Amino acid sequence: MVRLTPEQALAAAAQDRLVNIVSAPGSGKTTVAAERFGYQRHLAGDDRGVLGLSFNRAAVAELRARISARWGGGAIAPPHRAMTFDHLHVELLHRLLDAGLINWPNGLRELDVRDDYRGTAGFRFLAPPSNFLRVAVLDGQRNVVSRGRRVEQPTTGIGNVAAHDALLSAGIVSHGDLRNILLSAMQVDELSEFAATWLAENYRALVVDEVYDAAFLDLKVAHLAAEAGLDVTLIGDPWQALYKWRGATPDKVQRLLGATTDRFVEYQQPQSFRFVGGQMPELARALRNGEPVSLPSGTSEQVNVALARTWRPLWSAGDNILPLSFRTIENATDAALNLLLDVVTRGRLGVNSFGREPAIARLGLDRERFQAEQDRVLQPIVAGLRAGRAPADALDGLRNAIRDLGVSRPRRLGTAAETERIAQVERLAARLSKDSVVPGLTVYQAKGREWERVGVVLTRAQRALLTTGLHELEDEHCVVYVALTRAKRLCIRLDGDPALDQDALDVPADDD
Amino acid sequence: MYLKRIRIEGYRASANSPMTCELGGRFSLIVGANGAGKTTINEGIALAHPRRFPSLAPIDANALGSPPRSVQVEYAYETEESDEGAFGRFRKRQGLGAPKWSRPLERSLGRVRAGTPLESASEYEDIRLVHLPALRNPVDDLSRRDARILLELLRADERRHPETGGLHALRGQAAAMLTAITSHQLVRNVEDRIAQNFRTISGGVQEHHAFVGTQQVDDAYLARVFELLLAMMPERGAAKRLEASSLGYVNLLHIAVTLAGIPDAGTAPIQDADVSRVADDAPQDPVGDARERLAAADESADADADSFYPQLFHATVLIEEPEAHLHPQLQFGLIRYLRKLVKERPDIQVIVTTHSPELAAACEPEELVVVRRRADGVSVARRVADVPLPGALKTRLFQQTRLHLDATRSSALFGDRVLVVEGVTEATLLRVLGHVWAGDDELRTGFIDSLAILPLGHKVGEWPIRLLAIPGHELVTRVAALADTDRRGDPLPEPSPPTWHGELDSTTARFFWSRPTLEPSLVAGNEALVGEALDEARATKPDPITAETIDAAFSAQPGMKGEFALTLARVMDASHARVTVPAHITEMFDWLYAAPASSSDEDAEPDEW
Repeated sequence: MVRLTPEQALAAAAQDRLVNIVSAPGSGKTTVAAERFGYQRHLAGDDRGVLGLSFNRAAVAELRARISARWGGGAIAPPHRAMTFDHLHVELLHRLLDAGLINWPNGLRELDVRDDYRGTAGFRFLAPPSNFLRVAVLDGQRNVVSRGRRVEQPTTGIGNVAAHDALLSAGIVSHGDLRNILLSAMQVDELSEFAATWLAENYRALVVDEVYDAAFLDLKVAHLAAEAGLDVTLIGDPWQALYKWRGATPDKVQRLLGATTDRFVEYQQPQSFRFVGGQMPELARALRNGEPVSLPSGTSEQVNVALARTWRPLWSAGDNILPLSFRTIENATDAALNLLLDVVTRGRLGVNSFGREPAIARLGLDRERFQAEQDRVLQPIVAGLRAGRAPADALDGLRNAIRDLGVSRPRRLGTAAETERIAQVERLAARLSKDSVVPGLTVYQAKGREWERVGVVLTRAQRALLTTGLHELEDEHCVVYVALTRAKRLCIRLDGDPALDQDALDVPADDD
Repeated sequence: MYLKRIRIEGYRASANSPMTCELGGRFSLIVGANGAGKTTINEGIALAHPRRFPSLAPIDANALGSPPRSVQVEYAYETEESDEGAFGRFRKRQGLGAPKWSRPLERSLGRVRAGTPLESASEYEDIRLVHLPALRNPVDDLSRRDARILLELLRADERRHPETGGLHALRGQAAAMLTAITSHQLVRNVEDRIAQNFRTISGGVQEHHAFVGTQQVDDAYLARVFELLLAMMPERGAAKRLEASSLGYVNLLHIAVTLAGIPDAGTAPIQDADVSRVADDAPQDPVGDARERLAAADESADADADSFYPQLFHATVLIEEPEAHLHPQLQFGLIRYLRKLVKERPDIQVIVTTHSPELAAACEPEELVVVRRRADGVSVARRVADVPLPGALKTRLFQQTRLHLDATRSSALFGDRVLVVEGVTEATLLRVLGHVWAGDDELRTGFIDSLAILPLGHKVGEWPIRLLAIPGHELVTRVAALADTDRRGDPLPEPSPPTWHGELDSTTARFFWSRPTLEPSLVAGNEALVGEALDEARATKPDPITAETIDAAFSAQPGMKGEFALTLARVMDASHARVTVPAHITEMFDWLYAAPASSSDEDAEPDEW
């Protein structure tokens, strides 16, 4: 039986209606979230439910599992639920359609909501500067229509208006489009009032986990709930707000906290169960206090994992580090290289490469067929590298192998780019001869996890931040904070290749 | 919401042909003869519901027919929004349809087992079936084995009246009582002696201390105490233990306790400890208070897990043969109670299956479902409310049915073979004539003994034949009506029936005519008996005694007819051998008794097994 710390107990059983729980790394955030859910659920009340919310299915599954383990299988039984915000948005949109407050093409009221438009006609890679992405929005007459938006960064989606219209008319919509529509809807008073009433009729409390991953729409819904009289509990850490680049609006969380009629009461969870030994407890304290810190240097042989903001520096921080990706996939060759790397990461670390699915899509491979063929086709190339085959030659072999799978052969790149990819293959070969390797991850994959000994690869800018002290909520500061708080016992700085210290060009890694 | 339809196939009476039973609302009464298919429906409902209490007794796998074997249920929302229960309202708010699911029926170790439902758990996990089977033992259930029902009763009341302090307070009192008892010196001495002896025996291997008062005062303990206190007699002073009480009352109590144990859906289980949401003035120990609140939530979670009913649910209560050991008056009371309950508690649905004519008579026709075996051996369940009749006619016939049921308290109306006559005297005479017709034949005698003879109290008109014998929706196997032509002359004229007679299917409904009325038609061959009856009734005896003279005598003195008829019946009953059954009556009994055309050529099988 887990005994709660005083801070955890106070937060979980808080009697305030609006509660903001700030959970430092290792403080047992999910424990508190589960405890709070159960406490709210078992308060004497009416037949409305308690709603647990988070931002991706894995997080919700984890929350559910913890709630069930703590409170029993009946904890999340109707009317009580746990779901992703996306799921809640799907329900809200359907209720708006049922009430006739929003018009869908063809008068549809039942939608087929998908993660994205993958697999439909018109789904493709879109890159700046010339491509437009079609998005669904609400027009002035509350009809759902398709609109074009210029792409700023490479992305995937529907570029053709006819294809997009066809999908919408058939009732097919991506989560992204659904959010757009709901966002427009929430700007209309009558519609946001409807949403508020519906929330109040069905739920008496909201428990939101990882609130700093929320986007504006999610916070708007939480705000509606708070103003409609529901109990609202927010749980998160402003020091670990990593997803701004993906649409999260962590600074808006502060705005939400200040924008409600009743005030949110803050409950801090500073005590960590994670940090032990001579270095980490003090390092964590100092970081959170905004103090300058310094990290001891070391080599990759000393750690269980290596972390960096992007993939590339991980390749030159030690030969025993096996990163889960080479770089952002920009072309078919990159995709092929990712799949080659996947064979190695599965064999040596038991995990897939990062970006495997997009790589398969990029090459136009049939997923199931590739699953069956991958090892047969790519293992020989790995074996060849291990035996000393020239990297350029192996790269060529890789391209042939892809062609032999029935898709177009990835094209040779321009000289500089080609040289770089050959160098990547060479670096991969170096790992093959090591007895043991440790994973190399970006900070985004590392969030929520912990290892005994962590090595971080910092850019010059990041090193500078450490000398002045970090602030919460700021993107780059949060990245450093998360990186440095993954270690239980030892955190050291790994020196990467100084030539890679290109702060300005750092592109955030895509997340899965 | 309510269970609207159940479909069973490959099981018992539905072994060769699927059986569907439709219900109209939250109160239904299913009537039917033995072997008609009621058990199939009852067991089908029980097997269909994964969340049921108590467990179903094992069913031998011989009950299974050839595949496909399955049971499907379909619930429906109330037509009036205001009648809907908390669970139904919740589902509607979520945009969900009414629950429906199906389960395959499988063999397992020689028994029947209901397999995993095809639909997701969200369809059925909040529906609770409470089953009071025909073979229940109310005394056992209440007093010896099943304290669970009583526990549910306690918990249900706790949810309704949280201000009473709930089970927590009650447990506290019981614990205090227990402590007081066990601290008595007498008990202490016993404890010590036990402990001494035990120490000697276990000799230092590992000391266990045997204490007398170590029982946990938990809910099960409370229930045991409660059941002992449960009194049947009106005066508490004369309270007797359950076993000594009349079985009928225990049966009623069992039903009442089971129903009272169903909480109101939508009431949240209370938090046991003394907790208020208002902040304390000066919290001395906020962390301690917080921990206490969490501990209270823990208790509530445990109570929740223990309870058979979740926060939102629909309870379908299936009661088989509630009339067991019940005097007819009590049977009416029971139906009154059940119908009232269902009106007041929108979360509860009650389905009663019965043999009792009293119970059927106490219901509205719309609540009745008749289960019968058709001519071709197929079991069907027919809702009386579904008879395909035009609106105004249907209303009229239903009204009359209601009045008839209310007045006569007889549901002979829904027998398998029915004979409809004008009055009680005709009914009496026909019963006797029937026995004469049956002679020594045991099967025929049995048929006559149980034949439903329905005296209407007025001339035989549209009711009830038009209700009972609609082609394709028959509620009976055969209905015969014995009517008077009331036409005189020489020769006696044929009957001139109204046009609607033409709509009747002559294999299921037929009119037989006494010309001009019943009594004159009995005279031929029974002159001596008629004479004796007239003497006994001290009525003027015409001379000679013929059909015409008897007819004339009663036309002049209509008041004598009833007395004469009863006397004649008595006289005939005393000497069957001397009675001649008139041709049209013989024809009537022959037709009524005969097996319907599509079964075997032998004599018709009796309806009862």
